[in-house]
Amino acid sequence: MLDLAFVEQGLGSFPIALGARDDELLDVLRSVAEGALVPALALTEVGAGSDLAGVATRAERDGDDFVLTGAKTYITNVGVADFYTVLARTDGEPGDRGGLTMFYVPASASGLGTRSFQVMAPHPIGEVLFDGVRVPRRHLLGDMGAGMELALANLARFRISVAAAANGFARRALAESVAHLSRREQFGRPLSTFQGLRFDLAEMDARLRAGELLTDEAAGAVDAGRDATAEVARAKLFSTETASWVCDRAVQHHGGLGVRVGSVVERLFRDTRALRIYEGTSEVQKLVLAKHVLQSTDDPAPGTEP
Amino acid sequence: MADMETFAAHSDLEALRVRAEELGRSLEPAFETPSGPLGEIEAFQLAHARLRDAGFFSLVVP
Repeated sequence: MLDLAFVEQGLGSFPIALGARDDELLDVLRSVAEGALVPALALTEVGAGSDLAGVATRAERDGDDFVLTGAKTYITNVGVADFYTVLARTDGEPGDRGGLTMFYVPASASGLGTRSFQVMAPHPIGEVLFDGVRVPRRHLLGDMGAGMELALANLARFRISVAAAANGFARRALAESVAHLSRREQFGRPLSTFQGLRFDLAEMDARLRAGELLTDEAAGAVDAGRDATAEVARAKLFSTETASWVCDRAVQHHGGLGVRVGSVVERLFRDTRALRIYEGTSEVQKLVLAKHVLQSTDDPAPGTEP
Repeated sequence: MADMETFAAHSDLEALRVRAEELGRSLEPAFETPSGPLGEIEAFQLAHARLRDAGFFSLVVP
């Protein structure tokens, strides 16, 4: 919960930092930084998950305003958000990469409704429904039709935070395993003296450290202003997959205690699962990386062609 | 150069990580009540208030 409350504050407001054209929105940004306002990023729809070109929520021009109609789902902070940064279609049809634009929409806007649902690791999440929500032109973020680029730039920056959260979960799981294996005795000796379990601890430690270094590298590249697409994808993929694996091993080390509802490792096991899905699935990260690898290799290795 | 800068800043990042971990661990008991875990809205509000009071949000909002 802590990591989501922390990260979402940036994820939901960064489109304003990138694309605000109105002083009122800069005040909103200051309030977010102070924690006085809670944002939410509204991208995903039933027909638009990994492929945001499928966005069907429409923003129709009406004089100086836009009128939003459609529905978003899997939106973190539903029920607590003070405003949403929304990706909507101002031109074209679902499937077109162009024609998408981002908007700032207060949660109190007339015609905006929400519906919460539950996921396996509880946090505020649900659907946002737009039924003729009127948005003034000054609340447009970035340029008309440049919403996809804005959304992707936002995700590229905050994907690193998912990797960092995954590292935190894994670090805690490893600490829980070390404590339990050192304390728990079976067959007359501590579990930590069994070679198989010691190998586990070593591998958990090594994989966690690798994830931390990849995350460090990705954050450093973003801070330096370099194109960090590959570094970020590598860190997100490796750290989230590692966290799931580390937490699974920790559950195994705890035996029956590990699957008891409410135990720390049981909670960690559930908490880590969604990390491999949101802000770009592991499969999307692999596609990004494969593209990078293929583009950065000018010629195939000698001897591979007939 | 970028790698060196990253590692040069590591001591600060480590201090930040320790602060975040302390904050998280101090919150854990508050997430549990005698009748079970806090609801997601109440848990969010608690986490948000602690992060706000600790000044963490300025780290993620430019």
